[in-house]
Amino acid sequence: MDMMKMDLKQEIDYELSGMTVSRELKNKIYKEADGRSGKYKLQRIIRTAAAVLAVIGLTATTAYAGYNLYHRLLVNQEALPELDKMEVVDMTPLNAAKDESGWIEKDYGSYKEIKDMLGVHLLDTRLAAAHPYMQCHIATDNKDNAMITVENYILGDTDGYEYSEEDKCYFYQQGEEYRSPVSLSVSLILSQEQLARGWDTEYMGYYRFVEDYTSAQGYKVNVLEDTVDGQTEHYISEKAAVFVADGIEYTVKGRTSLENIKMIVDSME
Amino acid sequence: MPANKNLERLINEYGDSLLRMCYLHLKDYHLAEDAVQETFIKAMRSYDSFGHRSSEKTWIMRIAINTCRNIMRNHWFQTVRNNTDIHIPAIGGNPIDEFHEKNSVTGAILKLNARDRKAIVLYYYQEMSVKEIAEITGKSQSAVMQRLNRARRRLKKILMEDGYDENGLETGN
Repeated sequence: MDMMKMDLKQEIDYELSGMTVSRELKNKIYKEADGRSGKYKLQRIIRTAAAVLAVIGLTATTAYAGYNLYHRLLVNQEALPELDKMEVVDMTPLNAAKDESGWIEKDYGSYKEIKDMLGVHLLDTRLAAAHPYMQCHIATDNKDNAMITVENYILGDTDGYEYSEEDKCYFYQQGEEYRSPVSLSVSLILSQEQLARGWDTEYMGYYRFVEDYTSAQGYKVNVLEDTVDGQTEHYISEKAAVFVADGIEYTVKGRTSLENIKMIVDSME
Repeated sequence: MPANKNLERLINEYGDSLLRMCYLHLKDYHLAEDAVQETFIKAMRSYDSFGHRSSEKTWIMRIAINTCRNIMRNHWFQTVRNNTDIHIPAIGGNPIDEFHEKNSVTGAILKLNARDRKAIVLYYYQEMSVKEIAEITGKSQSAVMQRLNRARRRLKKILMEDGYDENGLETGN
């Protein structure tokens, strides 16, 4: 084909002509836009070509008989044991310009910086030593909710961190005990309206519930793990420990042993 | 216009091309669907405050590009990149699998790095001007031009390796 004569747009449209917004996707958008959702977020893991998929979806909240209306954790549509209740938090509004969708998104180099700025007591652990690889991000509308993510929160025995300018993240070498660094996510509800709408999290796809327990600090904790590669002998699954402390939801996540994840949760104060 | 009618219009007008753009950007069909969903929801939530300082298309593309950027920054995405340094085929039942195994313009674009893909897709596929791309990406127009030239050269090289004619890409206006 003569590239001079090629209309790239036409060619892409031709090649991807089967890729259109499906009725199902449209309906999902309409439903979300209707405000029937407590919050919206989708995250997926796709690890190999062998149809491996996990989704964390934060889905619509409806009254659910006999269950905490405000905060549910689900795995593949099954509700997990109830956690402590989330509450409205009085956060110092972030002083930054909102983007075109009404959100403020900012990066920080340390979790401490975010804690100091928000004026809210947030749990932390001595296991998160000061290091230059922490990537912290906050997204908030300054009105209803705020979500903090801390990548590379705890490094464990991972090593060889190299920053990729292109991907804006660190690549690392897996350790024996920690196949990935441990990340931390913190969700805050800022308004009664958001509390009423709810704050559900659904893990869909290759996830399973592991156990619930009460941490050393007295918080109810649910532990999940991925089932991405359960057949491989030395595979260490990704664990996610979710709990609510002082009305704030925390998720500690990483590819390490259940004991390590529990130790981290127990050390958070 | 009622909000749902407006949403319907936006989806009909931009939906398919947004989905394809997000796919080319993220290299994953399911993530592209997520990005499109999030883009329209953000757009609807902020439509009233959209001041028409830019065109509607530029505005919605900016939301989409930012959404893709956030997805790429996500831990799961990074985990994938750490464990698989090649293109990750989407899960079965999607319409693009066939392009992974054969030469195509789509395949060539997917071989570019993220910044080059973004430049090529915005300029050639979304047919945006250098000025509009600069506005969306927050770069200067000269930086966009440089990136575009580099991306064009790299794409041309890949296409030639894939058996396309050596005359190179049409440069557009």
